[in-house]
Amino acid sequence: MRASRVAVILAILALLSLVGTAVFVYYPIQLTISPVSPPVFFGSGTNTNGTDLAGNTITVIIGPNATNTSITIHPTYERTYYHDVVRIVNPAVPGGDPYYIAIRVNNPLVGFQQANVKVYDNANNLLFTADLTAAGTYGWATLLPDNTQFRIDIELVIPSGQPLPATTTVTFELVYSPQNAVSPP
Amino acid sequence: MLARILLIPFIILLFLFPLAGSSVFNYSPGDLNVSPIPPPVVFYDPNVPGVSVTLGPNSTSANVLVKASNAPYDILVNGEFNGPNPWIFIPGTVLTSAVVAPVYAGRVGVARISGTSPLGSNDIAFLYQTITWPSFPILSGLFEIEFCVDVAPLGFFGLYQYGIGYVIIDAATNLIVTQGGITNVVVNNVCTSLNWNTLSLGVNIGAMVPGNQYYFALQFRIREIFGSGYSVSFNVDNVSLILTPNQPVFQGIVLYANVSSGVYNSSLSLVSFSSVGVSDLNITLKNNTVAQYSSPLSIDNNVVVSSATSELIITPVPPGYYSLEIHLSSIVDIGGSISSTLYFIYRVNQGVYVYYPVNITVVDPPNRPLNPSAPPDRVYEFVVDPDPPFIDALADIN
Repeated sequence: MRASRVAVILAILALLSLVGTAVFVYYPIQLTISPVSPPVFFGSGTNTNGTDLAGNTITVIIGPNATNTSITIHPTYERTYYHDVVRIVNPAVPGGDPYYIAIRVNNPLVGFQQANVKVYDNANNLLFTADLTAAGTYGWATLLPDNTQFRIDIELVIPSGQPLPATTTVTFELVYSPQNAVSPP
Repeated sequence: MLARILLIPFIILLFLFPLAGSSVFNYSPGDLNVSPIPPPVVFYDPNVPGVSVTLGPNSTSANVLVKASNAPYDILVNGEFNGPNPWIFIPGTVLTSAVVAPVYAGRVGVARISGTSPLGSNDIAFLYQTITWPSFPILSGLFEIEFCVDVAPLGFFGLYQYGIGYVIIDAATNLIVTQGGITNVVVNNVCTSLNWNTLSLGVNIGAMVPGNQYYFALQFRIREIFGSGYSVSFNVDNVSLILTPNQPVFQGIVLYANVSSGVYNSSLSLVSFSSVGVSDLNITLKNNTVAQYSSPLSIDNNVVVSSATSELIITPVPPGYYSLEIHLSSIVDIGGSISSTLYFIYRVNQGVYVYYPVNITVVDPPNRPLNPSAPPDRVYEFVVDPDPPFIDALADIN
């Protein structure tokens, strides 16, 4: 009888202590979200929607606001090289800042001996190569100056003697940031 | 003391805050759809004796082994008149007809240059083709022709003199550089399988400039000495201009390429080469559709003079034809060789480039026979050209 009393008292004490810790303090934080036009975007290259092998077309769809792109190409056996398919643009107007860029391959190609995205500057210098057959982040942190366009070439090698690979899609991202101290997560 | 303790994390936060605050990243998505297609350009083996071609899988690469030789060879094309016909006919006033007879007087593939003159007029006519004199040293040259002349008087009796021979004209100057021939007197003659003549004449090779282009013309002359008109037919088979090189050489087609769809600019580019002894290597592309040649990729005396050919446009062609010929001219030392690693490149505009690997190796003999002619699968009519650029030079022969 005495023991049960003690248990009841302890239970009440426990409940009281729990209720006692449920205190909340609210400090105000104001988050102002002010979207801006994309300071870096995709642009057309000299061979955007140009003629591909066997009368096909290098189809390049640059999405709304030029912040995404979809490219379709038709390579054949051995080495096929696509020149200036699409561009990375840091425009002069509105005046922007330099940005650091990279290409991230998320879903790599299979069945190709080589598949590369090659990024060139205006002076035709190769800045970096992204291997489309292996996931990863390539070229970080390549500086894209203000009022500059970088050219994207694509190179594929399909070894002869094997069946042609089926139509395949590789997904990638153009990553950019105004700083290079921290790598893209 | 407490203030100091609180100050340290505050200072750390001050450093971290601007750094973290600037770490903004944007991720702009893209996708690349790769839809491979069968090769629109593939290689073919030209099946030339002395040239061993191993095509890679899908015919998108090739290894070519060429046996050079210092055996005499014929630089004329279709001297047998039983294949694709490069000969062009320059008619006279009487000799106005030129045809290729599939079979005549016991021969297969005979060029027949003929005409009828009721007035008994003298006349001259020509068949010519363009030749490129080899760039390598030549020891000797020999003109050979097998012929038979049908002559029939229109009246009761006639006496005729005919002439047959060759003329070589500089394609740059349109001037005759050398010539040779014979004349014979006949009353009448009917060609059979038994009365063909063979004429062999030395060619003045000293008059020729290595690498230059010339017109090589066969000349046919008829003159009535006595009579009242005639019908004549010059029948020609197996014409050759046989050159004997000083060193082991090769000159000819080593590879074909064909386009199944699309229009491309094509070229050949040198990646590397190695040589045993001192060698020359010249590779030229020829577009068969328009008979156009590229500038050569050339190695002279083991020195790269030009590391790529110029570009030629290639297009699809009907079955049985080839869009592109790859021509090789090479000299090696006795016991020598030259091996080259190349890329055959074709492109669409400035946008898409395709690279096919090609290896070409030229080695010293064993000797091989004369260059074969094209297989006798077609008979073509002559192109008639009454006014070639060198017509004034031919007037001197009259």
